[in-house]
Amino acid sequence: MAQLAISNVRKSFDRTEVLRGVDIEIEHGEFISLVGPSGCGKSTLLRIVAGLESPTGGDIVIEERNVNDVRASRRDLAMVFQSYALYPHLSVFDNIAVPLRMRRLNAWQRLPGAAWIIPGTRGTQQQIRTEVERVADLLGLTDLLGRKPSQLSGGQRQRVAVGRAIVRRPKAFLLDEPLSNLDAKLRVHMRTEIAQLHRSLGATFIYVTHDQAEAMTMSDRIAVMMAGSIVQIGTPDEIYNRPQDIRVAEFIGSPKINILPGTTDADGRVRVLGLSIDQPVEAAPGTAVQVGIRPEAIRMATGAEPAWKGRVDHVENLGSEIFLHVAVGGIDGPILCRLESVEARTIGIGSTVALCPKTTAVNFFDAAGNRLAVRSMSYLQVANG
Amino acid sequence: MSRANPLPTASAVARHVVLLALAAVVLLPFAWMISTSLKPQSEVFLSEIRWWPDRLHVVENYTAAFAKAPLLQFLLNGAIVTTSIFALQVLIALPAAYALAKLRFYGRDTVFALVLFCILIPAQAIAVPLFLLFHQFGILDTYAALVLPFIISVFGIFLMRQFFLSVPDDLVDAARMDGISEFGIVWRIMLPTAIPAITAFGIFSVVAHWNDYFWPLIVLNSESLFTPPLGVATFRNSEAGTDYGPLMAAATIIIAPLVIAFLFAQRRFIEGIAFTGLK
Amino acid sequence: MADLALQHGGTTVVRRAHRRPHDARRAREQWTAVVLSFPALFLMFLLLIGPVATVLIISFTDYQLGAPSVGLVGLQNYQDLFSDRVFWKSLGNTLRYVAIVVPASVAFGLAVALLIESGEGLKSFYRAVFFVPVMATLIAMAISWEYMLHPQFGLINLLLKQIGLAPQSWLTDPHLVLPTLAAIGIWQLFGFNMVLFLAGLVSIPRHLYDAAALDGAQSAWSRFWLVTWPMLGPVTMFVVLISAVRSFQVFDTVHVLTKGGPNKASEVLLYTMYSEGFEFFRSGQAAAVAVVFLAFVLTLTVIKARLIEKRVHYL
Repeated sequence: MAQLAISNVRKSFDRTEVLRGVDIEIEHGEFISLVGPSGCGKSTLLRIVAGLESPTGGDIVIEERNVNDVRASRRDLAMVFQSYALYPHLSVFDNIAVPLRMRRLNAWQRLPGAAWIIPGTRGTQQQIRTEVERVADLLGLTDLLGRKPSQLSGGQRQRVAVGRAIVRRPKAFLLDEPLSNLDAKLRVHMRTEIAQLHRSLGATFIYVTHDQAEAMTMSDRIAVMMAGSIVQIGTPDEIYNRPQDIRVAEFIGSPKINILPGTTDADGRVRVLGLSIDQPVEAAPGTAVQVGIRPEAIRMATGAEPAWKGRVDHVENLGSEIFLHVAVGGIDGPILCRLESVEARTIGIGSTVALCPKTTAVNFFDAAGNRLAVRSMSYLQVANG
Repeated sequence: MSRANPLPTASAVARHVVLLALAAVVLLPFAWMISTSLKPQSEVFLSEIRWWPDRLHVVENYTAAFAKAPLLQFLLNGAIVTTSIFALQVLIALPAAYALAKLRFYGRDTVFALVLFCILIPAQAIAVPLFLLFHQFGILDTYAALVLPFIISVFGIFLMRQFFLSVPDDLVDAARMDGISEFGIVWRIMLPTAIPAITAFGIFSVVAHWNDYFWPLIVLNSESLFTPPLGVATFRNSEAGTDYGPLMAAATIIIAPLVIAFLFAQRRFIEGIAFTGLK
Repeated sequence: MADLALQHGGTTVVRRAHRRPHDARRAREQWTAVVLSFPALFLMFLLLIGPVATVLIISFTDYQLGAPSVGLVGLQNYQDLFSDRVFWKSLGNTLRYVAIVVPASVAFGLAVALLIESGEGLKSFYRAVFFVPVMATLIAMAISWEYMLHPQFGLINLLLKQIGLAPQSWLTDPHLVLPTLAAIGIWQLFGFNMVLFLAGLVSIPRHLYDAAALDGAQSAWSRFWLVTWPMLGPVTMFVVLISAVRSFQVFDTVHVLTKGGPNKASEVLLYTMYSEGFEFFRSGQAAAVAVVFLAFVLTLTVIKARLIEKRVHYL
């Protein structure tokens, strides 16, 4: 049974539909990413789950209890915000302690000096102290407990925000673009830290990001959202290698996938820029097909095999690999091709190269952008496996 | 203009000469006031300029000032009135500003439009009806009459709303998820966050109401309630150009608290008054 | 990232909240907002909006404090006002006062700000000195000014005598009294304007001056006209309007130093309103003056609010 179920959630602001019926079931302990371009509704969805926003329709069910009318603070979820949302006037210690104090002490006990007057206050405060210190230790914040947020670096603030979330031991963590305010290097580092934290806590994480690399590197599953709907949910591997929609193919992966125009022939094979790809698809002959080939699924042609010939327009040398931008007749943009540095070292701008796709790694989409299944015809000879 | 090209020495000197001369002119009334407050009667009415008296009459003039009018009472009244006004202004404006900046509710735009409209109303223009209202209530000539008209600071609401708009919504959401009530958010989160804006507004408010003359003049009769400006004006009327030494001593005492506070926190004062003065 | 929930502010969302009262979270938020803003709203009506409406109404009555009956008199108060020589004198004096104080305090403020910013040393010292009159209690300073302007023993006349000029009766000469009050007004106000100009100057990007220098504006003078003045334009508009509103409200110095005299030569609007309303207790008349005053000040502030709406980029 799913720990957290989002079913048919819709949301509109005035006449703008932001969410058009979203369904996700999240298992206990799962790390799921909501990824999509800006404005796709992923943050709104997270806020609806958190209880900070009400859905126009649909239900949020946490552990089989419908929480639509339950306040944010009573849903037992913790959230890490993009801007960290640390209380600027409180020390790191107090920031982390706030959620515990609000839950375990009543209004009178929170007043200064209450420990001397109200029985039981001191014990609870001691307990809170211990827990805050444990969390600080876990996140390496022990030396910073006395500081104010303004005296912390971006990465440290990020950690405090995480600390404030985990100290509560919530049912699930909601993370709203938590890394987008960090510089590139720290972002990569924090990616690892968050993934490790997820493993050590064993808790459910719902992670919103527009950065497909974050989603790919950390998640058990990824939900790709476009224009208020979920286009595909799956493991990072499925999302990357078997995108169900051309928008998913284009959004995931950097640099972007090559999309080339093609047409099916009588056998269902797709002809692309004069080259026939030996993967017959489920489509009538003569259908226009969009062919998606990732840059690493393109290789240099060997010998006299049929290939796309083109002129190298631009070379991006990343050290370990090299990206070629190759202008090929029949399409506007260049074909992007990733090569190992050794094989591409001698290729200069202006030189002519012959390229062909790695047939098994090609994705086919119909005109509407839906994935076309490949006919399982094992009798067909695979030209270049 | 450009700090990149430092001026040659001659113009740097010229700059100081001109500015110092201007500064001297601007400070003249202060200097003359203090100088006179040190003089005995015989040296006040001279037909020559004498900055430093032959016979120093500091003690006599300042004791006379305190003896002839309850100056300490005036200062105390000023302190009571300005702090009451400021405290109530914050108490009333802060929750409204939070609601306008961070809550979505039916009628928000209308309320904000009313705030903007009220900013345009100059206090003097509504003195007549307020006077009549307070007359009806029978609270003329009380501290309440001095404080009440100003406890609603629409400008304060506007200012703090603008400040809260710059506070990320995430902070409010985080507080909600941490279990802090809306009321708690106003006083435990927004208030501490807004301290810089509230300080600026506080300086503006205290200076404006400490120096206000028009309204206390209208509603007060009893000398025991007089605020500093009203007190010193009454002092002068009763002395009517006869005893300038003690009068200038009294004037010096009245302006001293603000000027001294200003000298200690110039930057904050200038920021507070300049930025809030844009209303 | 752009969060649609945030982009859609105010009305749109709000209207739905109204249509869907069963939405518990929305209803709670609505209720919270009402509770939090009620005190302010109530007091706004009691102490600001109500009185503005009342002052309009009173101006159409013959209300007098303590009088047994009140009657509507239509435009009588305004007719009386507009046929009263003293009112026109008062309005004229106020406008003259404004016409002297505004240009002078703006020009002084700008000149001093430019001088201060043109070099390095003692910046905050000068800034503080010129700002002291802004916040020193004007009534106390008016008393000091009165003594300085004393015809026989005043510092000003003594100084004039030293350089061989004739002493003047600054506050009792009908031709001099208004300019004299205006001078005090300028003395008090220009430091405020200076601070606004300083803020405007500091926010002019320095690279503009570098660009101007590269483009051939070699002298400070040409850089002023090429960069400073155009960049300060909107600030100047603000300062002019703020100064106008402030000087329109002149009252303290008049009440303490001249009581509108001699022979109404320094009678100004607020003083007229004060004496009608609180010395003679002719509330109807006073309200009519207040309405005229309000009309002028509102016009000025509305223009200023329009400017704020246009969002001057560096204020």
